[in-house]
Amino acid sequence: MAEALKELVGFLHNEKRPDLQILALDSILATTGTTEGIDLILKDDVIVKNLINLLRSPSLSVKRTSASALVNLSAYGDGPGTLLGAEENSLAVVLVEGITDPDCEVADLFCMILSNITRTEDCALVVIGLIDLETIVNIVTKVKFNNKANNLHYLGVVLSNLSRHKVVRDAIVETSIQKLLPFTEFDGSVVKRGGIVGTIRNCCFDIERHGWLLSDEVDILPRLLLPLADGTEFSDDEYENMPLELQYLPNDKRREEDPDIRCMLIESITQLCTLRANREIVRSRNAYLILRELHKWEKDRKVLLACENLVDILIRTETEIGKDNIKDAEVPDDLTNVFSKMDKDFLDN
Amino acid sequence: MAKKFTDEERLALAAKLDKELDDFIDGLEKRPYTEGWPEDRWQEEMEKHPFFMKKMPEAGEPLDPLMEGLQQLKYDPNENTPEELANAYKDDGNFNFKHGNYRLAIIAYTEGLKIKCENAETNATLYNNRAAAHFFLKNYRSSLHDCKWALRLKPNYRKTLGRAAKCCLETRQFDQGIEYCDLLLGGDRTPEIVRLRQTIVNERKRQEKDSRKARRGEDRKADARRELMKAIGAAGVAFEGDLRPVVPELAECAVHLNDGRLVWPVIFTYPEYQVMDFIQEFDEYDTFREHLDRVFEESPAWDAESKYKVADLHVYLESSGKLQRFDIDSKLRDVLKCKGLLVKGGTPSFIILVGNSPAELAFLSRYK
Repeated sequence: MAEALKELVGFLHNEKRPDLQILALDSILATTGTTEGIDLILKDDVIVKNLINLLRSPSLSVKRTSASALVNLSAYGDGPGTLLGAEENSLAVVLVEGITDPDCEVADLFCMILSNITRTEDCALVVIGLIDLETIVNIVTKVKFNNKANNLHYLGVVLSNLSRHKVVRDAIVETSIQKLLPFTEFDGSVVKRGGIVGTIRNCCFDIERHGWLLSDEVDILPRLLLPLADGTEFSDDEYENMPLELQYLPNDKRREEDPDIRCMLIESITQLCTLRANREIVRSRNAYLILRELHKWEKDRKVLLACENLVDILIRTETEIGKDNIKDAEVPDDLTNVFSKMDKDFLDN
Repeated sequence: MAKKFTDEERLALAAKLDKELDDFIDGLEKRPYTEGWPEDRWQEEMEKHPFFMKKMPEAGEPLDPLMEGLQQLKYDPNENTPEELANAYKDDGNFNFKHGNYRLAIIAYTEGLKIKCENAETNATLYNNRAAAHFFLKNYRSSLHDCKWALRLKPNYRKTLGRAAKCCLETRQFDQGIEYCDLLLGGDRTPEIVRLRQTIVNERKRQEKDSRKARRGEDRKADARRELMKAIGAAGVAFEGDLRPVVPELAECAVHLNDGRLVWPVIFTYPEYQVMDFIQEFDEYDTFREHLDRVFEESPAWDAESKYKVADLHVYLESSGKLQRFDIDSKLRDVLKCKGLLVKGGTPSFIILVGNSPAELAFLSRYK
């Protein structure tokens, strides 16, 4: 098989015969269908280099096929590192160029490759050095950026991957978190919604930003709670303290359908409850009621557990908690182990 | 060759000339001096003089001729370029604006715009200033309109953008108001604009909440109506027309459900005296006797002879020209489901007569 691949390389070079290039690429694409095939290709510098170079081919079919092969290659094991390392990051450069070009015809495939590559933190860091984050956020939050029917939904996943690095979170929280928040209710794509909620969740890990995130200017809480709420009716008194966005929701309001996204939303709120002043804000806005109703309805055990953890914080008084930072509460190691085991048992059952 | 005058001769001549002048003056027609300012009203006249006036003449007020002349000079198209004219009107408007005469200022700016001078900056200022005047008069729609024109001529006019955003808040065009704020905030995060944006966003949320609340209210009403219709159908009541009572006394008492039971508004009529009683809440499980007991607990004024004793009363119902008698102990529910009975105006109506009285006989004879 390795020999057969070597022979294909000759055809990849021939720019005058895109038909032969495509034949060769089709074989390579087929090879990327198995893990053995992927291993073989990743070991072959020449093929990898050629695949990356062909992303700039004038022929759309050539571009599309090589991009498809790279989607498969980047999804697997060492793929991201090997691909990114080839030719001094030239892959990342081509991808970013294509994604930021409104007329790029294969931008969606490019987004998929980039979302695969940025899965590992090291590769994400390399990509961060090559992009202008503000441009990426602007593209993600634009309804229609690409003119060639690419929806760029996977760019949301890229953003989420990148936001594991603090430098990215800082930039987002300082400038554009408000633009991302409305997308917690984006119904055009679960991929994009998941990516953006993941980004927001990551941003909630920095305690020093919690005050800002909960302030009137960002007002993150309603955006996190709204996807967790359905049309359950509350009394006027109960509505009174809730964020306006959550009051009197219509009967046909549906909750976030994806359990992973529900989980991330709950985890974000849990993070925001780290410090006492912020816990008090979350309590004062009746978040508990939304979670109580969610808990009655929820079937997914992972989400149930996340929900219970949060409710547990919200229903305790500050005297009971006794610490400003809830993470300072001392739990003896043996108890930590007991709790972890209890959580695990709960999830497994 | 001049004649040499002696001193005497010179004096004589001077005296003669003086006299001639005096005579001439005396000979002139005697006319009182009328053109000066009368002493008692000089201040008023001073006010009218364009050099001394302290306030601008009101629109429509007759102008002092001197003022008119000056104005002509200032606003004469032959004397000024269009741009000078537009600026002259702008200055005029600004002067009025400073003195709080917003209406006059608007007139001046409008005149300035009519010139259609070619300087976009000047026109943008005229629109912007007129927008400001409209804003102070709370004409938010006109103000926004002018802001838009000003922005078309000068897209990043910060003063105008801010005012446009405020107008959007006042006229509840929240989305557009937020757009204006974002344009401003793109340049510089002025705290005032951050707060304005916040206010607009909150107002929008409030409006959305109110409309959701209203929708919920309507939905609930529709549900209640459906349930009511179902109950009426299940009770076998035939009715015609609207269920809202036409009688003002019962207008607020339309048939409704209470704990799953229908509660009707009911009319008792007493043809003998041509009077009526309005029963606001007649539970379908109540009997006529229960309500008549209450009505006749005290003898009504019209029953002067105290003939109306509940035990003696007969209850009739007229439907399609026929009269039907019901037992006084019947429940409303059992009466209303009778075949051929049609409830009109959402209000069952019953005829009450004293049994075997001449009035009853006379009334019944009409249906023979």
